[in-house]
Amino acid sequence: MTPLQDVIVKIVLEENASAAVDADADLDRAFSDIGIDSLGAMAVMLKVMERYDIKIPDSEVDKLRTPNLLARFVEGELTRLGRST
Amino acid sequence: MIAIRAIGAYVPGGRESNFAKKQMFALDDEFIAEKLGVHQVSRKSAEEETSDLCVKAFLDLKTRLTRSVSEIDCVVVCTQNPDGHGIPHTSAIVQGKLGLSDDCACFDLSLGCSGYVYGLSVMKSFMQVNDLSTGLFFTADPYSKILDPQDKNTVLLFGDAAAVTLLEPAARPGAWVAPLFRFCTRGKDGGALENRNGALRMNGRAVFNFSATDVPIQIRALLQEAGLGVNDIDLFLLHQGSKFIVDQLRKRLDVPSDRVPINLAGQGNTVSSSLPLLLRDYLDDPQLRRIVLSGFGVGLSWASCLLTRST
Repeated sequence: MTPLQDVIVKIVLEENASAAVDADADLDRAFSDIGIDSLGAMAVMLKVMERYDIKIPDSEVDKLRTPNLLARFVEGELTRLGRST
Repeated sequence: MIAIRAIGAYVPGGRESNFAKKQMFALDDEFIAEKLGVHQVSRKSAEEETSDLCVKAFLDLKTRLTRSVSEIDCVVVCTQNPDGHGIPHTSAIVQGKLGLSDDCACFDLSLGCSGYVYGLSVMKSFMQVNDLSTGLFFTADPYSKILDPQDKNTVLLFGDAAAVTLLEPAARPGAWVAPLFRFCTRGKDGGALENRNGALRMNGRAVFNFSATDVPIQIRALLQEAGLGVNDIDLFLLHQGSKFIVDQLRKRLDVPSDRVPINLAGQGNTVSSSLPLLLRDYLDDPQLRRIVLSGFGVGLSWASCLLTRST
C-alpha cells in the first residue's frame, strides 16, 4: 500500500471500524461492498478533504466509488496543486 | 436577566413510518435506525395551520406551569412556513387565537434550524430593552407544507412540531439564563437547503460538510469566550438534523454520548423546534448547571449559546 492508501484506509476504519479493508484487493471494491454506506462515504470524503486541504466537487463524488478511486483523485489534486502526499 | 421559565410543545399525531418506505428508497433497517435515527416523521393534518400548532404548544405549556402566567406582552414566532401566504404575520394570528391583550408586541422571525438560538437572544434583548415581563417564543416550521414525497433527502428526515418557550425576568436564583451567544452565516452557500419552486431541496453532502466542519469551531469559540472547556458542560443539545450528524459532531467535540442526547426517532427533524423539544426534558433537572445549545442549517446559518443558572 502507498502512504496515501494507508491514510485512506485509516480514515475508512475511523468511520466504520468493521469496514472490510483487510487486503489490497478490497481497495478496488465499492464503499458499499466494504461496509461503508452513503453517509459513511460522505464522512470519509470530508476527512480526506480536511487531511489534504483539497476540495472534492459534487460532480466528482459519484465517480469516487472505491478507496483506490478516491486515492487516485487525491493524488491528482495534490499533483495539480504542486504538493506531495 | 430574562430567563427560560418553561417550554411547551406540540407534536401532531400523524405519523409516516420510514421503515414502510425502505423499499421505495432502497434502504435497510440499520440505516434508518442508526444513521437517520428517524423511525417515523410527524405530520400535521391538512386542516392544521402553523398558528394552530403554536396554540396547541401553548396549551401544553399551561399544563406545565405551577403558577399562573401574567399578562403576555410579547409573542414571537420563528417560522419559514407561516400561515397562508405570510400576511398577516403568524405571530399576530397566534396572538388573536390566544385572545391576548392588544398591549402585546408580535413579530415573526424568518430562520430555520438556527432559529431557536437566535430567538432566545432576540427575546432576551427585546424584553430587557422594552422592560417587558412575559414573552412567548414559538417555533413552528411544518416542513410537510413543502416536502416532495419522492425526495428521499428530505421526506425521511423532517417532521412537523411546534414549541413555545415562556420567558420572564429571573424570579429566583437557579433559573436558566443565556449569557453568551455566537452567530454565523454563509449566505453564498444558501442554495444547499432551499425552497425551490415550492419544494424543499437539500444538498445533503453540502449541509453535512458545513455542519461537521463549522459547528464544532463555533462551539469551541463560545466555550473559549466563556472560559470553559468541553468537560465543564453538562449537556450539549445539538440541532437534531439526523443521528448521523449529531454523532459526527459529538465525535468531533470529543464528548461522551450521554452528554449529547438524541430524540429523533419518534418525530424526526423538526427544524427550529428540535432544540426546545430536547431542552424541555432537562429544564427541571437540578443536577445540570451548564448547557450548550447549537442550531445549524438553512442559510447557511449557525448559532450557539450557553445556558447557565442565574445567581
